[in-house]
Amino acid sequence: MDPMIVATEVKRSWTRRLWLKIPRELRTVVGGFACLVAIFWILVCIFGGALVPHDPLAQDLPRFLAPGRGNWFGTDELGRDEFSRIFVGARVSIALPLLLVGMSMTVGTIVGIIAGFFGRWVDEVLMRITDLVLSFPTVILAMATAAALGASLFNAVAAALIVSWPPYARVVRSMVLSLRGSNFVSSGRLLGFSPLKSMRLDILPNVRGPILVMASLDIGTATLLLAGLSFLGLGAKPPLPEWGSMISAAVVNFDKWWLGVFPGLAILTVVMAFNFIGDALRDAFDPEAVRV
Amino acid sequence: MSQDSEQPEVTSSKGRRSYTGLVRYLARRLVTTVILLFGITVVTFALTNLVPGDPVAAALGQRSADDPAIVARFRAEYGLDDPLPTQYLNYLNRLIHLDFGRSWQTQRPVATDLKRAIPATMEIAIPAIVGAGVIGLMLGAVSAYRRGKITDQLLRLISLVGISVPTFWMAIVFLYLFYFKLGISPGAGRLSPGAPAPPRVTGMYTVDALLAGQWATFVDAAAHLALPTLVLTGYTVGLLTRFSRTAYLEVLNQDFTRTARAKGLPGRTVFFRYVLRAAAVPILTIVGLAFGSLLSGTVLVERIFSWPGLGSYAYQSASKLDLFAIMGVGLFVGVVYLCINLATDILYAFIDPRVKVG
Repeated sequence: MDPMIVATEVKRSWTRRLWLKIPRELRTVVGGFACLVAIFWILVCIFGGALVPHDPLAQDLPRFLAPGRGNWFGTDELGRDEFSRIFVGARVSIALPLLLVGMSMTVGTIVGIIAGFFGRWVDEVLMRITDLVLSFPTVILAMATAAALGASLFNAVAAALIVSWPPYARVVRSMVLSLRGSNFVSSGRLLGFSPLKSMRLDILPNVRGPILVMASLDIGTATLLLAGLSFLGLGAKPPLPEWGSMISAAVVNFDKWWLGVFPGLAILTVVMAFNFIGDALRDAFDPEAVRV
Repeated sequence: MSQDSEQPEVTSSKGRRSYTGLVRYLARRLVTTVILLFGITVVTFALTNLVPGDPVAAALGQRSADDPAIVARFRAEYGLDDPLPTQYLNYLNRLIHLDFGRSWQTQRPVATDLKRAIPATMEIAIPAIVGAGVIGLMLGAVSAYRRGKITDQLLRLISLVGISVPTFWMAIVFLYLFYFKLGISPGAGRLSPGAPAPPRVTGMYTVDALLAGQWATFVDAAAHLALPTLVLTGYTVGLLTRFSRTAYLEVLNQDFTRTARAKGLPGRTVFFRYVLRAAAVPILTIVGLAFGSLLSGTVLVERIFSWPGLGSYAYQSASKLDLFAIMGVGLFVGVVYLCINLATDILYAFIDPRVKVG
C-alpha cells in the first residue's frame, strides 16, 4: 500500500471519520435539510404534547379563525387550534407508520426466510400467498380490510400490515435462495446447526442490511397509506387529532384553506424527508444501485 | 439502415424455436393467472365473511336490524344462512355465469353498478397513465442524461415531491385553487348540474358526447375530468420519473451505449435504438405498477371530486360492508392487475430476447 495514503488515513480526526460514515447524499445541503426535518418531526412526535400552546381537544376558540397571531394555523370547524392539533397529531401520524413498517418488515422477513430456507412446497405455498396479496391494489385491499374489521386506528394498522409485508417476503426470499447454497451456511448445517439456529446465525445477519434500507424507503409509503385510511374515516376516530382525518374536514369546508393545507404540508414534509433519507441509505448500502 | 434490416432477421432466424417456448410460457402463465384469480375470490370472500362486522346491521341500519323478521328475510334473500362453503360455491357458480350478485346498498346487480363505474374511472385513469407515461419517461431521460447537473437535481426534487405528496391533499389544494380561487375548473362531478348525460355507448362521457355529436357536452365533460386527471397524473409522473431515471442510468453506464456514442451515432438514434430499448423492460414493469397504484389513488381522488367511479363505489361498499359489491370490485381490480402482469411478462419476451420464455 502507498505510504502516503496510509498517512492521510491516520491524520483524519475521529469527527472527520464519523462524518465520512454518513451516506454521501446526506452530506449535501438538501440531505442535511432532510435530516433536520426528520429529526424535527421525531422530536415533535416525542415532546409535541408539551410544546403546544392550546389543548388540541378544547373547543374553546371561535370556529374557522383564519391563521393569525394567536393561532398560527387558524382554528377548525369546532374551534380547536390547528397548530396544536398538528403537533399532537404527529404522535399518531408518525409513530404508527414507524410501528407499521417495523411489523411488516418483521413479518415479511420471517415469511421470506422460511420460504427461502425450506424451499419446495413451503416456498410454493408462501409465495403464492404473497402473490395473491400483491395482486390487489394496496389501498383497495387495505380499505376493504379496515372496513370489514371495523373503523379504528388499530384495525387500520392491521389492514395496512396485511398489504405491506409481501414485498419484504419477496426480497428476503430471493436473498435467502442465493445464501442457502453458500459454503458458510452449509458448513453451519454440517456442524449440526438446527434450521432455526442456522437462520438466526447465518442467514439473518446477511439479509438485515438490505431489509433495513428497504424499510426506510417504506416509511413514506406507510405514512401515506395510514393517512389515506384515516382520511377515508377508516382510521383515527374523532376527536383524536390525526393528519389524514384533519384533511378530510377540509373536503367539506374547502373554502377554509388552512384546514387542509397545514396538515397536508406536515404529511408532505415528513414523507419527503423519510423518502430522501431512504434514497440516500439505498445508494450508500446497495453497491448495485446506480451512483449519481 | 443496417439496424432496420437486421431487426426482423434476428427474430425470424430463431422464430420457430422460441415460438413453441412462448406458447408453453403463455400456457403456464395463464394457469397461474387462473389459480390467482381463484385465490382472489377466496380472499374477497374470506375478507367479507370471516370478519367481526355485521353486514346485516350495516346494510339495514340499526332500527331494522332489531326486527328479527326483517333480518330473517334479509338473510334468506342473500343466502346468508347457508353454511360458508355452500355460500362460497354458490358465489363461484354465479361468477361463472358473470353474475356478481346484488348490491344491497344500491339494490342493483353488482355487474350493472360496475358497468357504470368502470368507464367513469377509466375516463380519468387512462389519460392519466398515458400522460404520466409520456411526461415521466421524458423527464426521467432528461434527468438521466443531465445526471448530477442542476436540471437533474431539480427534476429529482420535483419527482420526490411527486411521490411524497398525499394525493387526496393535492386534490383538495387543486380544487381550492382552480375552482374556488381562480374559477377555471367547473368543480366536482362528471357534468355540470342538470346537464344530461350523452347517450351511452362506452360509458365515457367525453367519447359518448363526441359520438353523439354533442359538442357542448363534450367540453363540459372534458372540463370536469381535467382536474382529477391532473391529480392522478401528478402523482404518477413522480413515480415514473424516478424509476425511469434509474433504468436509463443503468443503460447509459453500459459499454454498448458508450460505443454507440463513440462511433458518432446521433444522440436521437442512441436514445431510441439503444437506451430506450434496453431500458424498456424495467420501465414497462414500473408503468404496470404505476397503473396499479393509480387505481388505488382513484379511491381517494374520486371521493374528493364526487366522481362516481370504481374508487367511490369501492369506498361506499366497503364502509357499508356491502359484501357482493366489495367482492365485485376486488375481483375486477384483481383481474385488471393480473392482466397487466401477464401483459408485461409477455411483452418482456418480445422486447428482450434474453428473457427465456420456455
